[in-house]
Parts: sequence; structure tokens; C-alpha cells
Amino acid sequence: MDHIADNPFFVLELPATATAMEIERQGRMILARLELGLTSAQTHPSPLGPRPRSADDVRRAMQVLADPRRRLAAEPFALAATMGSPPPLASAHGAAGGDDDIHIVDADTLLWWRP
Amino acid sequence: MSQLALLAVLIAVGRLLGGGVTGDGRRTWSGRSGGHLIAWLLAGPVWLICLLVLVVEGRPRPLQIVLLLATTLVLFPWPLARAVAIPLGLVRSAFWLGRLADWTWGRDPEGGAAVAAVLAAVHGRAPARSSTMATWRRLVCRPGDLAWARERVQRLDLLGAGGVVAALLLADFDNELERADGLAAAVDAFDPVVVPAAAARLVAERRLARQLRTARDGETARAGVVALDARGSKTVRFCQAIARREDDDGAMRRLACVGWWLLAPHRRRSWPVLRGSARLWSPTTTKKSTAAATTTTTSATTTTPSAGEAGDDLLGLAARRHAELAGRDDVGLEDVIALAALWQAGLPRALAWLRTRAVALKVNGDDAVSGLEQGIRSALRTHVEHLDLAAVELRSLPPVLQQVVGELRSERMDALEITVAAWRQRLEDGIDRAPVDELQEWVALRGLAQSVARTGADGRYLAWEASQWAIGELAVRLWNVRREHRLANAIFRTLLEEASVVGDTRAAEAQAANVACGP
Repeated sequence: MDHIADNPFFVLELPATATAMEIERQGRMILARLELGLTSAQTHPSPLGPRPRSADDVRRAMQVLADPRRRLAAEPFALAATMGSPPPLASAHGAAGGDDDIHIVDADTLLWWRP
Repeated sequence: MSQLALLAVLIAVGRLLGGGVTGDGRRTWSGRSGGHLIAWLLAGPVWLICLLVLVVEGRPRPLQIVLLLATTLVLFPWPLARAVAIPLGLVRSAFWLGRLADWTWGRDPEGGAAVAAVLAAVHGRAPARSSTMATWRRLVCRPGDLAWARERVQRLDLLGAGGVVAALLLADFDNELERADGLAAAVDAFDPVVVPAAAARLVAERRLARQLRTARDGETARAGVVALDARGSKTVRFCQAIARREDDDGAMRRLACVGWWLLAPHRRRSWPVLRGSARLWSPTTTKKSTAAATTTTTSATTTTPSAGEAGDDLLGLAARRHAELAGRDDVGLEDVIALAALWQAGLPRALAWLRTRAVALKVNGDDAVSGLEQGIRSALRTHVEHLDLAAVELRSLPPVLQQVVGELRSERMDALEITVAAWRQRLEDGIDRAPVDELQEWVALRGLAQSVARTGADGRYLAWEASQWAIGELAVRLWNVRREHRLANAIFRTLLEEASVVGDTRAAEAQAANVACGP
């Protein structure tokens, strides 16, 4: 597990200063959204970009943050990753402007043996 | 008697046409059995006469049509498989056409048939491009087709490169791309003399597609495509010509593009690429992004973390650098060393904060302290896992990185040793598996050994020491007992290469003798 990207605070989209009540309320809300199948609930933001989120992840995050010792281990990374300016994310190497309208051909379409 | 002599001459000519050793000493495929010459001699005149009569008379007779169809099947099995059976998803027809294709698959007819069956099954599962094709597939393709093709691959005996390619295509279909990469490397390990040109082309084209899909930017994709060994694939040649044209748009380069475009299949789809209205790789500002990456790397390398420079936010800086590196594919050792230095510099202040916070929360802070250290190692590990440290002395790394690499190596060695132990036990018990399963196990073990080799300068030797006996024993058994000469020879060849690289001269001599036995 990546202690930064999969940090329970990021899974629940809460700051490292969140109280136990906030954690409980947020966890329940995300679980309800997941149950409704809302796509926005199926990923969570992280410094490494959006990450997939399941109901199990949410329950695990709630469990971790309910235990003071485990919460303490998660706090420094949540604090560190959110301090200062946001980091440049994975999308940094996308196509650059100007040539964006040029169509990129999927190499598979040139191979006779690919369907 | 004279007929037998004629047959012998035909087979000899067929072998001559089939390849062997080129003028520059490169070994090439020589697997054609000469059966195609016999087919052409017997069926060719009938086909030609039927065709001529049909053209002259202009009125087809039933017998003529039957003869023409039957001889076409015998004369052009692989083109028929490619053009008809595979695109239509006719798995069994593709299999049998592949089985007949001596010109294409030579002495690996079962492998060629398996390739054709897998390709047809995969086509049958793919989304149809038109409603007619969708209706056709609904009527003709059956859900069990892919299972049937898998069974053909599983049943392969005397495994050749064709069979390996069939397993590779299945791994690709199952989206097990790393396993498919390992199988592609296994094809390279086979003696070129027994690798049908069609198998080599399929592997080259799959590498092309993978290269284009995984390259982080246009420049990397272009360089990767140029560096590919085309192995006779016209599609790869066309893409290489396009890549070279970007450097120099001279008349000769443009002419080469047109020439390869004419020779390669799917000309209508590649026409926009030739014309320049579409591209094979992103036109990313290769120069701009490379420059940006270089700047980042340099700044990361030269950053001397100090409280004065980075303020009190060293851990935050490290976390942001971690996130930044996680978004890049070109993370180098220098970047990770710089990141480790940042984490280490931020650690004392973070630990102090953590102890204060532990008191506030009324918990034992020791767990959190070790958790933080473990978290840092885990964060570093996500980057180290992708590094190739085969040429790096571990002692030259910062202590925290030594620890991370050590943990990683230990885990990988454990996985290798457990696999080798299981393998050794199986060999001692004399349990044999299907050749394609033996291949998959060898490829998996090779992958584990390579992962150990990437964890430091002595990693390759450690992996060699741990695995060479079991792999050698398997290869000897495959050769002596099971007559799987082609697969055994491929394994001997890789063992010889490894023994030479790690400097194990005795093993190298033994493996050279094994390789000399031929495929």
C-alpha cells in the first residue's frame, strides 16, 4: 500500500485534523454514494492523481482512523502531502498545445492480426 | 523409383529455399519441410488449368469450381486463414488452414495452427465493426471457441516458436502483459533456425504496438520504434520509415515511407499516417517536456535539503516530490537518491512532532515512529521497484535506500527460492507437465530471476546461483526424456548467456555443449 496515495485521510477526503465525528459522518456518506453507484464516489483524489475507491477501502480507512495509534501513523503523510502548493500530477506529460488536433492512430489498427 | 527421386530433389530444394545461414553469418529460419513444393507440383497445374478454362470459357462448371476451391485451399492455406478464417472468427477452419501452411510454418505446423485458432477466437470475441459482422458472429462464433483454441495450445507437443506465440497471444488477450512480454523474450531465446518467419514477425509487431502504447512521450516512442528489430515485418518497417522521416523529410525518406506503405497491410488505415494528417505517437513537445524533466531531475539531484532552504516543510517537500516522481515514467536513480535525502532530512522534525502528538492523543508514540519510518521506506520502494540497479553497487547508496533495496531483494529472492524449491521437488518426483505449462513456468522463473538481478550489481549472480540447477535439470529432462528439443535448446541458450555474463566458466562450457546438440 502506498502510504501517501492510499492514506485513509485521502480515501475519506478529509484533512488530517478531522475529528472522529467528521470521519464517521464522511465515511457513511461515501458508503451511501458508493451503494448508489455514483461514479464520483468510485475514485478519490490523492497527490498521485485519482485512485479507485471501494466500500472496503472506505471501511478500512474508517477503522484505521478510529484507532488513535494507527491514525497517528497516517497523519504525518496526510499533513505532508497537503502542505504547501499542490504537487505537479501525473498528467504533466500529456500532449502539448498546438498539435492537439492531430489524430493519433492506434498501432493495433495497422496490424492484420489484431481484431 | 524416379518419382521418389523427384520427391527427394523437391524436398532438398525446399530446404534450400527455406533459409539456414545468411551471408553475414546470421542464422535464419530453415524449417520448411518441402511439403509446399509437393503441394504446388500436384495441385498447382490443376488450379492453373481450372482458372484458365474458367477465364476462357467464362461459364463455370460445378467440377471446375470444386477443383478450384480444393486446390486453392491446398495452395494458399495461410493467406486464406489471414484473409477469411481469422477475421470471420472461424476457429476450426483457421486451425486446419494453419495446419496446412507448410510455406509459413514449416516444421511447426501445430504451432501455426494454434496461432491461427487463437487469432480467430480472439477476432470472434472482439466487438464487430459493422452490423453485418455482428450478425455473422452471432450466428457462427460460439462461446466455446476460445476454450477450444486454448485447449489446442495446451495440447501442443514438441513445442516450437509458433506454440510460444500462440501462448503469447492468449496472455495478451487475458491482459497479462508482463507474462506476454516474458513469452516474447522466450521466442527470442529459440534458435533462429527454428523460428518461423511468421512467428518472428508477430512478435516484432506486438513489440511495436506495446512500444507505442507504453512510451511516455512521442520522442521515446519514436526512438523505441527505430530501435526495434523488424524481423521482416513490413508494418514495423513502415513505422520505422515514418519515424525516420521526422528527422529528415528528404526525398529518399519519403520514398521509403511510400514503399513500405505499399508493402504493408491495412494501407487504407495507414494512409493518414503516410500523408501526415495522423500520427502514430503523440506530437508531445518532446523537446519541451524533456527539458522540463531534465530540469526537475537536476534540481532534485542538486537540492541539499536544509531547513533554511525548504523552510519547515521538508517532509511536505518530500511528499510532493514523491507524488511528482510517481507521475513520471523516467525516474532515475539520482531522483530517488535525492528523494531519500529529502525524506531523511525531514524525518527528525517529523518524529519530534509525532511524539508531541502521541502525548496529546495519549498513545504510545513508538508504533507511530516506526510506522512513519516504514511509510518512508514504502514510499521510496514504489520508485525503487521500477529501477534497474543491475549495475549499481548497493554500498554506494544512502543507508535508507540500501535498506529499501535490501528488503526488495530479500522478498524477490524468497519468491525465487520458493519457486525453485517447488520446481526441484517436482523434478525429483518426475512429474511432467504439458510443454506449454513447462514453458510458462520457465518464463515465470526467468522473470523472478531477472527481478532479483535488477537489485544490485551482484543480483544477477545471486539469481543465477539460486536458479541455474533447477532450470538446467528441467532443460535436460525436456531434451533427453520428452524430446522437446526446441524448447530445451532455447533454455540451454539462455543458461549459456547467463553463465557467460556472471562469469561461471564451468557452467558456460557445459551449456555450450548442450547448445551444440542443436534445437
